[in-house]
Amino acid sequence: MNIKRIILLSVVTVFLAGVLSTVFSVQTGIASSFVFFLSGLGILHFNQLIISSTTSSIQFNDNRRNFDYLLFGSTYIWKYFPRDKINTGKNNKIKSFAFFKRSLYASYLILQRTFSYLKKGGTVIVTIDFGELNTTASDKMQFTDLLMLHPVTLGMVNAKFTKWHKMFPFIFYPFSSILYCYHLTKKNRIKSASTECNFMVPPPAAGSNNSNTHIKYIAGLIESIAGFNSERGLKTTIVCIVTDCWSELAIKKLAKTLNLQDSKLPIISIKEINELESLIR
Amino acid sequence: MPSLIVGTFQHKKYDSLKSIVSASIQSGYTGFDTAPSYGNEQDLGKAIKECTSEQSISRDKLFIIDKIDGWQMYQSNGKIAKYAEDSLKKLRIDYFDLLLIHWPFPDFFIQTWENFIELFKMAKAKSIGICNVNETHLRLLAEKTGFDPHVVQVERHPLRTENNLIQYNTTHNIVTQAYSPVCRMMEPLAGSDLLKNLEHKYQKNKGQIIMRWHIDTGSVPVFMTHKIDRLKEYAQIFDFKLDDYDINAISSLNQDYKIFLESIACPGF
Repeated sequence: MNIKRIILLSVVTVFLAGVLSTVFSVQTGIASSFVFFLSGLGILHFNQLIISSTTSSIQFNDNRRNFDYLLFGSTYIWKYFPRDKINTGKNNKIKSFAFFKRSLYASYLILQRTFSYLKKGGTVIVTIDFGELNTTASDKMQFTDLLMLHPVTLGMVNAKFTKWHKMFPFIFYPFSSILYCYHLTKKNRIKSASTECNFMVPPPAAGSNNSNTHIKYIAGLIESIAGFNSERGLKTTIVCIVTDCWSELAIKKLAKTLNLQDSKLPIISIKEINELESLIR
Repeated sequence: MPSLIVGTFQHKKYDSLKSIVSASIQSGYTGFDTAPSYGNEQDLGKAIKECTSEQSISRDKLFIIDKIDGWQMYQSNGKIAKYAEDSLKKLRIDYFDLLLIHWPFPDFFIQTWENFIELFKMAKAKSIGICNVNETHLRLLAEKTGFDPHVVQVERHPLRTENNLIQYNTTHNIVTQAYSPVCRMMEPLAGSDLLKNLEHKYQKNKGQIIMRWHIDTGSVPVFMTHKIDRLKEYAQIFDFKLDDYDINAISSLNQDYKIFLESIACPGF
């Protein structure tokens, strides 16, 4: 466990201890104040960490234009896709808007704001991680999603997001902030998909009835995204990330659902991140 | 319509805006462009009032352009008359010479355009138009309302020549206005050998050459400057003309580079 994780967990524990001691004992009020002060400093530190690491993701001050690809997706792509390696020199190959726990719904809204970065006839790559099906199929938005949206869009989706929310994400979004900080400090490990599958084992999320609902929802969103792109002369490619045999099943279900409406949409399965790199190179 | 328009984007302080307006009128400029999002309608109105009085210019000699912003379209669901009236009061005028939709927000721009047509019929705006569009938007406007804009204002410069749009507009008698007309003189324009050669040939600077290119290719530049000297320089572009070879050479610098990405300001563009 690294030092930043230890500090994060300590801050949260000390803060909670401070709250409890204040509630249950007036005599330790002074000690509690000190505890609050220390934990407040810790919270401000992590708040600043979140702001400094997430505002760089909002690259609206990026002067590069006419990318070949825009990439959307969630945690796996955000953590493992080496976009800086691909954009070498003056080569504006790919711009990524994948982010930690970003749902497909949030990705679609962000696409609507960022597609002008693409060259005419460019390609939108939508990655679906079936290992994070609940996140992918969620209609909830994180702080980092809301940061990317236009004020009119925020109004249309009824999202309350003021300057105070932007300045203090750790206070307004404490749980997702803690989770984000945890993932930020986690070491990168290349994930490889398991190929062995025991069909006698009860299906996990990817095989459940809940997942069927998620898959239909995802299919609907993909069709909206493909339609949106097509109207603007852009191409769409769906990249499904295989993390286990159950996600292979889910991908087949998705492909079947999509084929009912649009058989021209390329759907590619990948097990390793370098397969995505090869697709782009 | 004037051949050159003075833009006021990024003019936040009254004193500098007043000096630009004053110098503009003295140099022969009559066109001024603003928008609610620039935060300076009130200051521009005050500056114009004072300068026209000081220099004995009547209102009808000026060409004042304002816009309706995206948030106004959204909040009123396209029924923007109230916002237009507010802007008239701030600018201290009875009518706009040109009122523009600033960004074509997909869910609101048709309804907004319908309200623009009403304002035009009521003579609140002598002409109406739309910014930041392509031919698809214009065809949609024509199909849904039967009323073409008088003016289309887009980002246009040698790195983004928008030839298809210019052609469409010419065919449909729509005037094209070009904002960021010199693309902030960023590279590769600043270091362009072509433009350096043309500076020698015509004895004009790069900015003047590009502004003349706009005139010769059928667009009206809308430029912003804090420098009075720049105003005077650009007023000196009517004593020469680029020959066709040089016009084409400048146009060949096109790389479809946009400073302002449409979808950032207008999601779903």
